Amino acid sequence: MRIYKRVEMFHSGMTLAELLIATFVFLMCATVVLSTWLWVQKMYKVNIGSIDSRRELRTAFHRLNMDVMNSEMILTNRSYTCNGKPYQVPGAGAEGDNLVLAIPELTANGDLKNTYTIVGYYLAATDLKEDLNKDTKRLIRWSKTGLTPPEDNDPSSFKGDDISDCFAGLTTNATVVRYIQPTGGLSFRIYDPPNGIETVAIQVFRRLSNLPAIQQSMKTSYYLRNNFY
Amino acid sequence: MIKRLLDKKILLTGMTLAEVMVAIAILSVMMFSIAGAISLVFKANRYDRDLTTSITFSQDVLEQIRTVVSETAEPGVFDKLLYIPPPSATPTYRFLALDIQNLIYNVECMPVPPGSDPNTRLNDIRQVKVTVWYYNQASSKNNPQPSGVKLYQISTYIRRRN
Repeated sequence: MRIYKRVEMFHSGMTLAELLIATFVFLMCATVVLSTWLWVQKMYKVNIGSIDSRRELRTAFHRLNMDVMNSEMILTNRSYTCNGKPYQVPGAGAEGDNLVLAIPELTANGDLKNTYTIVGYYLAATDLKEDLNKDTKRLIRWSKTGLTPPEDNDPSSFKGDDISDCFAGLTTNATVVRYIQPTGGLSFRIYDPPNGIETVAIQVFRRLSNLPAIQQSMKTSYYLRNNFY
Repeated sequence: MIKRLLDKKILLTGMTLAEVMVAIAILSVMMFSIAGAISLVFKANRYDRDLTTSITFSQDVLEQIRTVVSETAEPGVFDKLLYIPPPSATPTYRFLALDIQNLIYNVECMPVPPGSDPNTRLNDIRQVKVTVWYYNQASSKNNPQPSGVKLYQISTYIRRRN
């Protein structure tokens, strides 16, 4: 009998007070775990977003650097159309969001071929299906190879219409930077004389839902290495 | 059986001191691991940001020097690049920008090959090197000094144009 009473003591279950305390402790623990998880998820999203934006900017800057270094000439003061939209490359000493470069093509022996690769950068509206970032812009790099200038070995003879014609045929297009701030997000300044460019601003502004926006801002300069004057 | 357990006080004993300590140790390791991983992620992100800033900034400095050398009509600009700073002087460090107060840089220009005498030196080429470091917080802001190993270095050769 005595043994039964002692056994009952251990099988009697929790009292109401114990149950309430246990529930409270469980809820506290669950809240802490859930909050930590949510916070880690948000942190991950912001971190990955900023790393991704920087990676994109670094790659774009690297390509721009290679393009400028390899070019023989910056085709300034040219007006051209792409997909029906007019674009204007600024003149020497001016700022704009458009750039067109002429890169000489060489033979296997390193001689000039009298053909050029025309490379350009322009801003366009985003193609992302994100409501939060639908007003942002993207920087597009395009190029076309094997173009013969109207005057032999003189890329300055490429006119605006020649540039427009590039888009009629096969042209390589790639978005190099996304989420560019809608106003004042990108600006190139062409040196006077036009032997280099300064990226006055490339500003990325990506909004995230219920999180602080990702912002990156960079500037640098590139100088032509391949102009034979 | 229950009687035997009760008599041996097995069911009535709580956790021993060793068990409590092991439990605390396991929990502590878990907490510190999580905190460490989070801190590491932030640190890696900051490092990535600083590195990117250094890369673009250093490129900018190099290109500005190249522009000055190539575009200016002023004679002697290229020759001034022979030694910056002079071999005897202490390097001068400057902050990258007013709003970037954790990174400093310096510019060195030297003949090619380095340390060559005027007879063997390539007179129309200079090597320009830009190096970025983290700022040593212990040093004065008026005379900032580097901390640890360099963060980024880029160099190029500049040719005389005029």
